[in-house]
Amino acid sequence: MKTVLLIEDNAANLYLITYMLEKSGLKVISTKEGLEGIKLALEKQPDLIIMDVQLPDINGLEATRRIRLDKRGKDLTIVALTSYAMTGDKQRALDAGCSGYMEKPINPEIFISELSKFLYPEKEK
Amino acid sequence: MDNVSTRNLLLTVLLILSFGLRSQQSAFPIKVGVYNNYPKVYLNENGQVAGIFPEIFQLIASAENWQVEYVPGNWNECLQRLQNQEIDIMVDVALSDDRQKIFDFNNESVLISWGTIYTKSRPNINSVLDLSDKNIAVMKNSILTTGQDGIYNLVQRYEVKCKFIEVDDYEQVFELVRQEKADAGIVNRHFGAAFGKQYGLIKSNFIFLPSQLRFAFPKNSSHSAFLIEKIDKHLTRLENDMNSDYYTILTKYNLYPKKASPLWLMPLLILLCLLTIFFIISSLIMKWRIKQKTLELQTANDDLKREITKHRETLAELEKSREIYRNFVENIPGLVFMYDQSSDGNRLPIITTNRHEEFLGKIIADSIKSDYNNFFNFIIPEDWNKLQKVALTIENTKQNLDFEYRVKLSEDRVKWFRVLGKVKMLEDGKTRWQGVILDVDDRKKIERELELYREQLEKLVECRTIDLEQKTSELEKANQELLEADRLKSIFLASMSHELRTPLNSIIGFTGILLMGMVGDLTDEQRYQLDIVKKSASHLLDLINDILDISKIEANKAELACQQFFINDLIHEVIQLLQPKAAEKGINLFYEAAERIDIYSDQRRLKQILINLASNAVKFTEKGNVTFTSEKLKSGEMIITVTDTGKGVKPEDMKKLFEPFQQIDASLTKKQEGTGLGLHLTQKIVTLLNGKITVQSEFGKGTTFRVTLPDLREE
Repeated sequence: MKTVLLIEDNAANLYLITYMLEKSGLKVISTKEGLEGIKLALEKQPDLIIMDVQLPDINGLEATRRIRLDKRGKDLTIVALTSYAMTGDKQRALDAGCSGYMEKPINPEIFISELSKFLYPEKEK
Repeated sequence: MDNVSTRNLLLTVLLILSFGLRSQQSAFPIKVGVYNNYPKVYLNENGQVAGIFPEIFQLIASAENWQVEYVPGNWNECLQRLQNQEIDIMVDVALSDDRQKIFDFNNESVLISWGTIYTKSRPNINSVLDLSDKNIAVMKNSILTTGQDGIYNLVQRYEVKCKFIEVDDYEQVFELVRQEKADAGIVNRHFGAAFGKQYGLIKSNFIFLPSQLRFAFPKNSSHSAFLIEKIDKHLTRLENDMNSDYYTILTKYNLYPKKASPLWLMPLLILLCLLTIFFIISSLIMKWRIKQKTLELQTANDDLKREITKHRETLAELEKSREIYRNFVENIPGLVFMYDQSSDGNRLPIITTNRHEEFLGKIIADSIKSDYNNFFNFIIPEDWNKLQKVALTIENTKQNLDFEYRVKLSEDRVKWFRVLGKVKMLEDGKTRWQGVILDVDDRKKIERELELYREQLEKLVECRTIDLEQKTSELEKANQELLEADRLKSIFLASMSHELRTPLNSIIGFTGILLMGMVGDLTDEQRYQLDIVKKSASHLLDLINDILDISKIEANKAELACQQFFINDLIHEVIQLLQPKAAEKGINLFYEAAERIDIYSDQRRLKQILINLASNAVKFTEKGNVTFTSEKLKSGEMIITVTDTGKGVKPEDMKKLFEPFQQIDASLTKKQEGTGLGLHLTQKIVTLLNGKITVQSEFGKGTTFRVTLPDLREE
């Protein structure tokens, strides 16, 4: 069973995404804080990290940079949740070391299939 | 000739015989040539030969008992005959060197003669020079005419130009003068004295060629010597005896006073005659010399006159140029000056003008009149000191003087002057100053006024500047506030976007998983209602996104992400995106692409534009087509059109087309979904991409939007 680390501060979204991931048969670890997220990522080595950009303590991009600084975090797959309205967020996400990004708001109809690209990259090829 | 020689021989023999016999008459007559030249020789009223020469010869012939035959002829004929030895003696021949070569002459003179000139009117002939340009009648071959000192040679010698009319005897000479066919006539003194009055002619003072009249004999004649000896012997006797018939004859022809003259009278008379002749010749030469001198003097005089005229002209010109110069100096709108300054500072004016009073007033003008140096005392001391310093510099540098100073005209009047000049060092150590002093008082007045105005203006400008600075700082402050407000707005918008979207995430997300049946099965009613919730949430999301876009563009916060891409691909993408909706309405989407066109621009923004336009087109078209075209102009600009076959836009509504929240057809509002911001945002984005959007529409037939975009690559 693949493990997904979800770092999201909004409770509603946290619940929504967790619900969708678990319904798809994935194990979900989650936290509402960036620093806690870094710790979990490095320790649990999840198959996928979903990183919200706006977090209460440090923002998602800073958290990503820190994960990438650690050798344990180098090869982790991190997908940023970016906002449509904030032009440049996507590029900033990639620059910070994210593997990819997904736009908020989440469209449940395509969310899981979008995630699959990152979870099963070998399948895509 | 034999005949002649024989006759001569016989005559000689006879003469010698007669000389021996004494009382006997010679058998052959001696031929004597005569011609008409009263009173010396002529034919009297009885046709007999008469005159001084024949009568004297008759005395000799009678004494010698010679038989005489007169052979008459004119002068030339007679001379010819004498030369041919056709006659033995010729009377009345003037002795000359030329003639002595042809003829023999006896040694005693019978008469002394000279040439005289007669004219009709009062003669004005005092020398040969007075014959100039005259027609003169003369006797051919006369000694007076062609002799060595005859008139021909005379006029030639003195270079007198005159015309001669040659005739055969003196009567014709006088006749021509009387008839005024000649201006003057030349005859011997004897003929003149005898006939001058008769012809009404007047003798001039001019006489020439005094000559001794003798008998002439043929040269080489065997008896000429005999005849000469006899004639001379008798003549000597006759001339020495004051009571002889010789003098009787002379007296008869008015050539000798009737009273017996003392013996000494004759030589005295001859002496007087010679003296007279000498004086006449002297005077002639004198006259000629005087004439020459006069001519020279005349020439010199003419030269002098010309010189004088020239001098006068020069003087006149000089006066004229002086006048011009004076006029110039007096009419220059300033005081012209030229003075020499010696080392002790004394100034000696070279040029003066009468305009001092006009410029400097009466007080200074009077003072200058007494001493030119006084002028400088009237310059305001402060200016005078400066001027002296300037003058010293100029003396050293030879620059031009240009200085302005004040002159105190009177107690209450000070005037500004400007002096322009030059200095020149003279050889004697003096300095020559020259130039012009101009009255610049009016200009100075204006300058002072201008200065005042300038100061006022400066004050005004200063006040205004302070106001302006104040306003500027206020504006800056306002601007800062505005910038701050704008920043706050941006922050607000960013926050709002997040805050609004976060709950929307939940709404859309949970509606989505409910509709997907992820939670459980739904009834049709539940599905219908959840569908409305989802659509409303999506609409709200679109609205928020549009507002954010517009706000960002208006706040110049929109960032462009430019890249090179093919417009054809982009249009195909858009068509694909809209295909489901178009198919739903039965509308065909066409793309008429002539060629692949690439452009450097913001692909995402352009896609946004095309989606907006295309979805509008699909939205407002009930049936028909939506057609895309793309074209690249030579300028590098690209034109994209989106044409529909929808309802079109009424002309009066065209203006409102791009206004926010203005859906044209109210009746359509409810039917058509949309934020009401689509075209407004589209126009904003087109402008952001430096492009233009235009619309053409025919109500009821369709609408065409035309977007023109430049290539944004920076050259």
